[in-house]
Amino acid sequence: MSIQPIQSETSSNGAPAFNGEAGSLERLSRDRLVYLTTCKIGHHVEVHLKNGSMYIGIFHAADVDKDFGIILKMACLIKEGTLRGHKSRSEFVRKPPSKTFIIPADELVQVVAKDLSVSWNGMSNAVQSEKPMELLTDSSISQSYHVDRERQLKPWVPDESVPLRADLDNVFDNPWNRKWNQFEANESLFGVKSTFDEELYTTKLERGTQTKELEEQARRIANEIEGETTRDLHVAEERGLKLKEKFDFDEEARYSSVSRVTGLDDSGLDEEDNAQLDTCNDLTFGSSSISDGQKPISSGKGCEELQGDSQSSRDNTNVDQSCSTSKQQSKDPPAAGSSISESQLDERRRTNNNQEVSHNNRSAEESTSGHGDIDESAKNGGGAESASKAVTERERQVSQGSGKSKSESSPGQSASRSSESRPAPSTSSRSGLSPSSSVGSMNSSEKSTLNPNAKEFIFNPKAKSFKPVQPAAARPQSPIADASFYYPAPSNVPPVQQMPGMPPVNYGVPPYPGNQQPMMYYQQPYYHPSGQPQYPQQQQIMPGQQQQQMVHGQQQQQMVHGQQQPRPVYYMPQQPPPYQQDMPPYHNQGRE
Amino acid sequence: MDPAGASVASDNGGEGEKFAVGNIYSVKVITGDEFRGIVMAYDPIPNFVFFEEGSKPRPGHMKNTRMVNASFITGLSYLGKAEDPLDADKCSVDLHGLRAKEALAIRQAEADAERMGVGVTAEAQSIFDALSKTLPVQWENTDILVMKEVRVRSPYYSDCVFGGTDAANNRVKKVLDLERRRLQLGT
Repeated sequence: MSIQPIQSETSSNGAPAFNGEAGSLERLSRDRLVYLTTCKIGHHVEVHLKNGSMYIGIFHAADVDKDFGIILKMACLIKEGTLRGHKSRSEFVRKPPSKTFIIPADELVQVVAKDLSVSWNGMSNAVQSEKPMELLTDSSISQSYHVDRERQLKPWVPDESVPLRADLDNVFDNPWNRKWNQFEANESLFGVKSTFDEELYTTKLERGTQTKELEEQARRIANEIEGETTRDLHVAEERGLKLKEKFDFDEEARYSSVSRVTGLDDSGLDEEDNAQLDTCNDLTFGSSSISDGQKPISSGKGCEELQGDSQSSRDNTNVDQSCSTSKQQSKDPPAAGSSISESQLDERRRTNNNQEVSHNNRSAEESTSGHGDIDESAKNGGGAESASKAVTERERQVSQGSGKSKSESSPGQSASRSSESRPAPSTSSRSGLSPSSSVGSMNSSEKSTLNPNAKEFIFNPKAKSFKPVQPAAARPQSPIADASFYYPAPSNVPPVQQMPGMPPVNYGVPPYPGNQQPMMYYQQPYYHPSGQPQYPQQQQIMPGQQQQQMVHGQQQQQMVHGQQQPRPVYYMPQQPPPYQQDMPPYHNQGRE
Repeated sequence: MDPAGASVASDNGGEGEKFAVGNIYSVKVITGDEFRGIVMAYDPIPNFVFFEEGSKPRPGHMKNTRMVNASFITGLSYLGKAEDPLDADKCSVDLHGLRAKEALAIRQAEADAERMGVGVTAEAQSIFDALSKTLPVQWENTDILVMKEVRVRSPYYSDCVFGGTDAANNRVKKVLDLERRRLQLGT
């Protein structure tokens, strides 16, 4: 009999050749059967045969075209059918499993599959309830499939020789209540004399004339202490107090020495730490309230986080310095020396005066992200220098961001600035801290609660611009950047526009919203400064952008405006035709 | 192949079409096994019925199923009607995943088969399993070979331990005794 593996039958249009009329109904019922049978592939099943024997194995295939005979893999006989009585499994002599076991349909009575997944539940059929990647758990290692011998459990009967428990009932009572003295018991039972001397373990208690009063005093104090209510779980337990809080403390919460206090980064903070933090706050911000009217608590929170990361007070002062320097910078724009920043700071001041509110919000956001950065730099063990540098980056970006809206700067600058300001929104979204932190708010109206001892901030024009971790997180608006993103090797492909002295560069087709087929035909910018500039046969134009002028300006490009179809750009300075064959390799690269 | 219905005692009271999807039956087969199930699929040509075990559909995607050769059903009584246990919207087959599942199961079964003795009693097998928890053991015919040098012959008492260094031998003897005691097989 020819067995066709069921794998070939999964599509629902495996229509049987016979039966045209009741075709659809039959097909439906057959399809369901085929589908369910398919679900069993790989599953452990138990098969009952006509002669009473039972096999277990892995379901491999069924002959769905004909009569549904099945194939099992690694099948084991678990019950002999020929014997009349039912032998228990434990006495059964084992046989090795058959690698492949074919069961014809006329011997097959039923196939039992337990916990079979018959529909999709979010995970593929095969994955569910299987340990992935053949994880070897202890239980699977130690378990033997055919362990069927279990001990007979007998109920426990207490030993008669054990003495009555009555004496032990009050063992856990307070000592003065116990009626059982272990030392006496030992002495009587074993003749062991106790040599306990209290004075070996504690200072001798002088009992003199004032004993009574001293004892009174001591007792009073002791009662006072013991009578105190406490919120601490452990202390309450010791004293026998029942805390009124919710009773869902499990054993771990009650008896573990690890204190888990939920809530942000101030895990493990106790009352003592709070006092520490208060002093830290005072140091940083002075005791006067912040101008915005925001409570120091929110700023304290910012400070808390920092402290949580670096416990030493030295780091705190460093960070404090950078906090203050950041504020200083906002407060004293002229302190910055660079010309660029000066003009931008001027703009910023104007912005400050005009749109204080919005700027505050934005700068507050930036500064909280600045804090996030400070966190990291403090964590990295960077000193005040790097922290302040990071902060200055933020300031620069904030100022640039605001300056950009003014659009006063030259376009050349704007390109680089836009790339720099790009990270700002992403980081502010990334930080997710409380936006209303007043720590870094760059109010010019801030009082001079700054740390007078902080280092003066010097603007560093050479500082590296901040690059966010996920470059794809922030999608810039300019299409240029899109193009550059798709270049595998040359990350230094210059943007098309306004690059004086650069010949036309190829670029692939960036995925415009309307562009349905992103074809990445492109090539590296390939130009010979001394070579003959040749002109590509076709030009691919990005809508809205001017085509690059040739280096030597001899011949004009053919502007094919309005050409919306993305077409490959072939720019070969030397030999146009042969290079076309070279496209595929690059094309493939771009496919990723 | 018997056409459906010829060898089956069925009563058709009110169930509509025979083995219609959703019908609940109490089924008895010629091996003597009995169960209750809801019809999930039925094809009269090969004459196989696919049941979900139970009297009402189990919610979710996992079910205990039985595929029964209807020719061997000796007793069938209609119990009622339930909804279709299969949710047609969610039925899809991940062939690749199934093949992987099968391959994994086969690998595990082969590994298990290594540990299984051929032609040994269950008692021997449980001794083998107990020893294998702490000692490297393998089967050699009906002998248990421990650490490749100490041999435990049938009937696997501590006087059947041979070979290996003194230390290894004693250790195996000791472990064997303890395991036997733990399994209450008697030393």
